[in-house]
Amino acid sequence: MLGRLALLIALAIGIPVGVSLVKPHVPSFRQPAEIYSGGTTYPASPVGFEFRELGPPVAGLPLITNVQIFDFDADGQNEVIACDALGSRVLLLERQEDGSWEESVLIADVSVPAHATVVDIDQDGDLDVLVSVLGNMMPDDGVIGRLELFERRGDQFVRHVILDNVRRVADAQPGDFDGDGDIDLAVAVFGYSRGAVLWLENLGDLVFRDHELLNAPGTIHVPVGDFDQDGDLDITAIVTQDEEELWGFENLGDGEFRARRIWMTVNLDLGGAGLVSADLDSDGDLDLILPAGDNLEDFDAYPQPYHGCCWFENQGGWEFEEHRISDLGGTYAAAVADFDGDEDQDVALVSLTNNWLEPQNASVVWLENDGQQNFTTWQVAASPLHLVTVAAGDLDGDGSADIVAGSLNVRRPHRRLGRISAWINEGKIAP
Amino acid sequence: MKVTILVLWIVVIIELAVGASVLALASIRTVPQLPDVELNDPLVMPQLRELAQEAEASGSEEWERLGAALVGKGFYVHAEPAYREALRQDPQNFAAQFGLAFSLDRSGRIEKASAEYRKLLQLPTPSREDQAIVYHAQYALGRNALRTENAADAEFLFQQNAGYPPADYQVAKLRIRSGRAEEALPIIESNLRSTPHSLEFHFLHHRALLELGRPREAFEAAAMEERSTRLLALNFNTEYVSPLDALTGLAPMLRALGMATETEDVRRIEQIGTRFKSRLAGQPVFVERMVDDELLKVAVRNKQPRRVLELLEQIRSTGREDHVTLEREGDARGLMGQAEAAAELWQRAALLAPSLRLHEKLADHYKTRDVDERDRHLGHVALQRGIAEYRANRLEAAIPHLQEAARMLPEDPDPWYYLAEMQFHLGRLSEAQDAYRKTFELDPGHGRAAAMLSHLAAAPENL
Repeated sequence: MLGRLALLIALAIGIPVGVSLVKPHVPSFRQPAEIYSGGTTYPASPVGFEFRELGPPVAGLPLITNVQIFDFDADGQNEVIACDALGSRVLLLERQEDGSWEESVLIADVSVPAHATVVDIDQDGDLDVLVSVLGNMMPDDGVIGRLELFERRGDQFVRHVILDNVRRVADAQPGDFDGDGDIDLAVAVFGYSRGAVLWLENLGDLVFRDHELLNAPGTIHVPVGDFDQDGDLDITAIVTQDEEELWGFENLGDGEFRARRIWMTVNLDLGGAGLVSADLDSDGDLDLILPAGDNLEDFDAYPQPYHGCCWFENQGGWEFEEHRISDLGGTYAAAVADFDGDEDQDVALVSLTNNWLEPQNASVVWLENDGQQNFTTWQVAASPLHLVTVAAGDLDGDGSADIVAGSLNVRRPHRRLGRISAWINEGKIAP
Repeated sequence: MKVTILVLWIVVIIELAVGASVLALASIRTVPQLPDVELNDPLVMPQLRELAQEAEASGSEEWERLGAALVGKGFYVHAEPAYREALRQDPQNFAAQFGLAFSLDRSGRIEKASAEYRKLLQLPTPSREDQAIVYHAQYALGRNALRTENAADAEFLFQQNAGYPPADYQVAKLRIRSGRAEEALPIIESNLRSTPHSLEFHFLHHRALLELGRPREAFEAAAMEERSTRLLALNFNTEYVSPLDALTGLAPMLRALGMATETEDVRRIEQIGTRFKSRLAGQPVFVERMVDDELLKVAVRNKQPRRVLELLEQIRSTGREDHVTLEREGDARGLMGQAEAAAELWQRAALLAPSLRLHEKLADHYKTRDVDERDRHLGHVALQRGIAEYRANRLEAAIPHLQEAARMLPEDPDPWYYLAEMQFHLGRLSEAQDAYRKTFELDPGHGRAAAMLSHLAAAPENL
């Protein structure tokens, strides 16, 4: 009896103790909830692209805001011009005979350069450089932007501030807008809560007078071209932030413009990220290509269903028809070129904020045009991450269109880092 | 004895039943899911794992806390199941309900997010603080309608939140964009009465007046934008996420650094900064530059030029060069008695980002070396002071500084332009006209002065 009593007492004490000891180690048989994945990935490109990091190896968190492919020294071979916001400078990358790339500082001491425009602004036969100065990478509504002209004099550049006391400047594009034979400028003052689209009238002697075309925050790019095919140059602009509007400024002559809102969306979260003009359908007029996926207002952005790329087909008479041609999450920049050599225009896109938790999600894609403007998306790369700028052109002198892109590493994860990256077109891969 | 044994049998049987059910429940418990990722901030993942363990062992609040910590680091899709578990355990968990809606919202699942925001609006509001969340949820519903390009629904939803300035802003904007500027004006004007320096409402005012074919008034509304400093929280995401970000990782250290900076506690800044960098062990994170800037400032204040140069060497090895690095190197060179090198570096820094402080340093440098150069920098000091007063909406206080700047910088149009702006906003239109004219004389490229002159000339009766 006593033995039974002792056993029962031991059980009465032991069972709760045992249960509490065992409980944390009991495996759960519940099926874990499925984790949603909103990123985008695509089939591998049928055109081969060989990856190259241009310039020195990555150190720290590079902040490249713009890349362009341009034959800067007119030697028949393209260079890469890059804006380095981290180093406050504009870089020139030149291909060497052994195929390597050498980097040098083209212009130093420019505060967060957003764009470098190469143009012979004083028409003296050499190339000058206009730098659009943001002044701060982070959201800032201060009057800290500038447009700085670096006038080429022999081997030197001489600095002239041609637009000051404005908010952050994101882009400047040249054109003779008033038909007086000199080069004027269209300027995107991005700002933050306040901004503007301006045109600067060239008064001679490197003096420019600013004229406001539109008062709106978040203007990123101002492509210039004869959009209405009436023989003079017009200006277009993408206005982002909460506005998300596409504007055209029809040149009426004598420095007069008619503002036309070409398109808008009420979707304040679209994230318009730039604007490219090109004749995408090869019908002889200029279309517009809008990459969308800028959600930098979030600490950690995630792909949204409306991210991607829109092609605005020029129908004439300032009518543009919208076509959505890509759904790449976090799309930040676009470039147009014929990547597969079939004589139609394709599009390269890069992503700043795809879902980077999934290692296979795309950071670079190209959209193959079937000639009828039906586009198939092909993945070029899933690394490096955080790409904000892309350009297309022949980097290796073989006549095919290569891709160069720049990384802006401001957001997590700080992994798979890049700086100035290139993908050299190796032609179609045999099936 | 028999009774005791009987009681013990009953106890043991009950314990067995309870134990079995406890273990059975444990075998079907929800296990937290964490992202399989390595972050450069070494504290985040261990802390998330700790929170996950607490959540697994505890209740709704712990699951909600885990969800919040995940959202704070941008892991929206992993936060979703944590919030769902919190709500399964306590369907009235207000914070979890908002967190779930927000996680769905930011991961692009708009319809589902809206459904969860609607559920939140059905919950009893537990505290006054949570009332703000209710406004946010209502506003988010309107935003989500905009994100799906449903303007009519959005307008209706924002109207449900009338009186909440961001919602009023959206209603007014929708009306202007759909050709109903007349209907937008009363909303705009009412908000401008309560917040006279609201930037966004002046912007809308400008657009509405343009739509209504009233260009002169539109011009003046645009001029008001320039001196408006009050901003609406049109996108509350950052506001909501900031405190959640501070739940894990190095973010609390940054917050402490910010507080030490505010109180100018030099020793504490150095302690926190050094600890921050040692935790990172060379792994780069974007916010490190804030820490670097503070450490540089402290080293200059402590008159440790060698330390400044050491820090700069580390910083520059990452490719960074900007007005801060140049100014601090100038400070260090100055402390080492290399005055010319210091001035050259400060000049470069001022070229990148002119500031009152840099012009003061340069004026001091040229005090006895070059009087003209000293006066030029003193002129810029006065100009910067005037502009700072203007930006703070102290127009009268700005004027003497700008007058001094105009005297000291006789070739510079900027002091005259800002003087003109002050006089214009103070309603002294004749003085404004004179100052704009002077600006334009000094800089024929000054388009804004030219535009103001034409505006004023168009209504000479006001002058």
